[in-house]
Amino acid sequence: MNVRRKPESWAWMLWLPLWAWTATSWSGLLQKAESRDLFIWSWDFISSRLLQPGGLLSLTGSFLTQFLHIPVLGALLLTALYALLARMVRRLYFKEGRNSMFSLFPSAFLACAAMATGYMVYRLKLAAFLFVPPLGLTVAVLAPTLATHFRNRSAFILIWTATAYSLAGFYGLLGTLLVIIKSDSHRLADTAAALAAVAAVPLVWAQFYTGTRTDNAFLAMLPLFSPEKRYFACALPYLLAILSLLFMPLAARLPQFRCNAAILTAIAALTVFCPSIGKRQFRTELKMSAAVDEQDWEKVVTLGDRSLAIAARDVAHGRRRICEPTRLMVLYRDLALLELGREGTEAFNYRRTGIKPETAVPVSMAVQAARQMYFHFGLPAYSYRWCFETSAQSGLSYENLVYMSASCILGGNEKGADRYLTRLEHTLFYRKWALQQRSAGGDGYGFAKAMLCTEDWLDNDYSQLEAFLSSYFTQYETSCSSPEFFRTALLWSAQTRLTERFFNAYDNYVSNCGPDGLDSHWQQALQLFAGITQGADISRIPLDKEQKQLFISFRKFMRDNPEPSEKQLQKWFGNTFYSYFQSGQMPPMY
Amino acid sequence: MAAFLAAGCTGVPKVWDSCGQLPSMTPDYSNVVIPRNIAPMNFIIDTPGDRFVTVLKSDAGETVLRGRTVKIPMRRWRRLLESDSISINVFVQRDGQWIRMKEFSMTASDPIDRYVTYRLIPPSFQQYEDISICQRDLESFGEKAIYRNMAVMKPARGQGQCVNCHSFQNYGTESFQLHLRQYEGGTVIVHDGKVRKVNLKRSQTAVSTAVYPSWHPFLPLVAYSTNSTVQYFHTSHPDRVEVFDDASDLVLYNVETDVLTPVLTTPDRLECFPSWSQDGRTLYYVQAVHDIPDGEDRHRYTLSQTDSIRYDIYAMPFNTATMEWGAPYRVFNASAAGCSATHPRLSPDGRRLMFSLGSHGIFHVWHNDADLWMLDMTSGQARALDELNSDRAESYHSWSHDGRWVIFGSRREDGEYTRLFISHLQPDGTFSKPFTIPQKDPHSNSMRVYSYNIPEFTTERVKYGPRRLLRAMR
Repeated sequence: MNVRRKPESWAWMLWLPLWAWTATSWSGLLQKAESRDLFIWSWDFISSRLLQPGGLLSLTGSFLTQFLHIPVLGALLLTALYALLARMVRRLYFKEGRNSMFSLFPSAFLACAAMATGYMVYRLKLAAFLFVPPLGLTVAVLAPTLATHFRNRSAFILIWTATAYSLAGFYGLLGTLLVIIKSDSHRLADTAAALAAVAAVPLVWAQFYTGTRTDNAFLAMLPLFSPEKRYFACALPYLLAILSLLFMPLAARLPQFRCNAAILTAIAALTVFCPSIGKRQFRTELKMSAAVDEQDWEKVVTLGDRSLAIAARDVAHGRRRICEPTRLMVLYRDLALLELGREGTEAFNYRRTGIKPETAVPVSMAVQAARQMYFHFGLPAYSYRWCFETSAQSGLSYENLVYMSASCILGGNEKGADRYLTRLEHTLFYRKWALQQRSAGGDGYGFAKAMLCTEDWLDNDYSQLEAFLSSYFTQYETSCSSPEFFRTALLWSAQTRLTERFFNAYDNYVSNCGPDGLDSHWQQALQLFAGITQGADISRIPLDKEQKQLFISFRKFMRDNPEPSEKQLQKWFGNTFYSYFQSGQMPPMY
Repeated sequence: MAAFLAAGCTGVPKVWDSCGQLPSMTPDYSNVVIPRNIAPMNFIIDTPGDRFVTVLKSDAGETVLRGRTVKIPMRRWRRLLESDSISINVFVQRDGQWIRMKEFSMTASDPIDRYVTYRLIPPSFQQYEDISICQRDLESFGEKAIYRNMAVMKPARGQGQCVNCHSFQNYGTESFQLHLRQYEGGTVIVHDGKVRKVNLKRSQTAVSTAVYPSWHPFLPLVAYSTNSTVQYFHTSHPDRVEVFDDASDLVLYNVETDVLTPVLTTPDRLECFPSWSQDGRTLYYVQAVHDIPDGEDRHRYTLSQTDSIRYDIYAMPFNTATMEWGAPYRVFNASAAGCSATHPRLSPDGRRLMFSLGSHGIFHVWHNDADLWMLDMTSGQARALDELNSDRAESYHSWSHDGRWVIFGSRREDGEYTRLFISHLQPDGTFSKPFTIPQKDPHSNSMRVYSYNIPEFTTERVKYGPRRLLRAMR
């Protein structure tokens, strides 16, 4: 293979690892992007999208986004789109082949933008944000390509701007600018027509479409960010993608250097893969979220264990920077263990507190996970409410429709569920689930059903998901008598490290589930809290011999090491309640 | 088996079996009284079947339509409405056999005010984004936004804006107002050809800025309540939300002099939902006793008492010449019956007072037990409007300008979304079967994920749109 004669061969080789990397490492992001979007096969939905500038682009983006439901397939479509864009740019600007590796950059920046999304995935208001930019840039590149077939350039510019803006928003305007920039003749009339069209068309639209501010009409279909420093890292790749396209004619005129192609390709590859650095836990969190939605509790636990193992390994090696799971990942794991009935043996270990997400973007656990957590913890009314709160902010989505319908069903309002199930029945990947729900009547949500309480409390979570759940399970008096509820209350109470709360929960648990066969963590907690209380008599409680021995060892350890190091605690009492209790870490509130 | 000889090629089945049951349909438009000028009453046949034929007949003509979705062409509908009654026969084919369902009718009656203005809002709880005030032409399916917050706010920057409380003077649109909250907040007042935005949070409005409005029918005055409103959420009660005031007063605003005067600011009373009589000489409102013990936090105490805060209906005479108030008096003692009344609205002829009644509280849109009641002002008798009520919340009712029609919000369909229902006041003082306002596509009511709030009739079109209102405000 002669690289100089066929430099594009390198480019084609890059798409495969990109696809593989996106489909595996970033599958969580793809699934999250899909679940936060919506495409319904109904005229109502389609026409409402088409009424906005860039509506067809948005619709097409959402159509393609639904295939992210299967990450391998969605990643393939996304990668194919990046490849198509690169190819179109190459054919437009680099016919001779010189410096053609520059054609990779718009796609590279967009792939970078996708991976740099981070926690903005919960805040971005652009529907189909993964597909709209590459589709949009492809449309923009189409303009100079088509312009060559028209003799009357000014007329083409006017028709193109009016039509393309309506269908593709900002990208239609970008196409107009590309026509002028690419043009060899640079006639004044063409330039004037382009500038007038770019200025006038959005303003005319704004008179009829009131869904956006007039100034934002020029930015239709662009992801909008608040002009603050903390959003810069997310916004920059999009900006670079657009700028790279505008400066492409210049790139085509640069002299060809030796090894140019290799350098440019390496830069493009680095641009794509750099945002993945330091986002391991975030990617895992997204995968756990998807697994919770699928009720694949084993997968949630496996992913959670892996994250905790990474943190434990960092502690064991005495690393200064410990790669910790987020608090939400810990709660997901707890939920999964409760569903599997293994919380009493696996929930507690040294690093189970978790941290606030390491991001400059404001993150709220309630926005991320309230609908899931409230639902599975038997509070469908709160789950429903949070579906609405997030829908109000970011639009209706698959995930909200699923939880709204499930919450209505669980709450005994089948009629209320009907509206949402009807919508889901008109989707590609949720139709089957929706049809099942009509006849299932809440079956399949055994744990959530068992958690339902007849008592009602008038309260407010003030957007603090964990604090509310903690209060609910540790302080509210309830007549709920399911073993699931008492197990859950026991777990939440133990987490508080407060003696009184633990014993209250323990008494309720034992009264309803009996004292026999107490799991290891609860035996540990009992002995520890009894030791603190001093007055508590646990002599009649049947405890395992090895747990008694373990407690004795722990007491001795603490006497010998009044201020034990993390490494020591992790090594000797890693997967016990003792290490959790001793760590003293408070869960972050966000 | 009855044989039916159909004319020519209309597609009406020639042979069918009779069925004594009404067809199942959405919306339910069977045997309703409709305004003579209403848009086509399109509906969907829900009765299971393979093919459907609907025959609409009146003295003025006949229309045959095929398909499960019955969309009546405008011209044909207008022709049908030339008569007083339209009979509708629905034929359903199942396994090759046609069945004629029980015939039902739509009776054409008085014309209705042509426009109704409402707020479209997703029934979210604390967050909001796309909210609009829209005016619907009831003679067609036209719906136009008067104001839309998306035209102003910057969602990406977290600068949101809530829009609420539109109010018109005497069914006209020359004078109206609406509130904007948060980003670029204020009260937008359109009066005398001018649009301005005013700040009604003043020293006289200690509790809050002005909230629920009621324009005086002919003076440049708007009565407002000021409310310190709080919202809490049920963990399992079907009502989902409890919205209550821990303080509220009444004030009067003169739109020409820009003067705001307190009307009722009693500390141990909660006054709310002012509503003028059509002659402008009486202001109706609701009031609850709310005596907070010394040392108690107002908010916490109110939260603990939400179940027992009950509002009665009061009236206060107003001298339109001297602008002086008379002594208020109680009109309806809801609290004595263990109930709470809100939204008192007097009919234009002054004979009937309609209100919403629930077991407690003020925000009945969230109370499933809330029903519409009516007080006969002559006899003093009050009754539940059973012919209008359902097992879900009914609230926010408005009279048409001639008092012949009433429109109200109801969550009867699924308990989640408020839809608007219209009913006709019959000569005997009862109301006809309510029906939901017709849509061009009858599926849209079930697909639309917005609630309709605060329906208000007007007889004329609002001449402002969102951009024009914005330009005029600046």
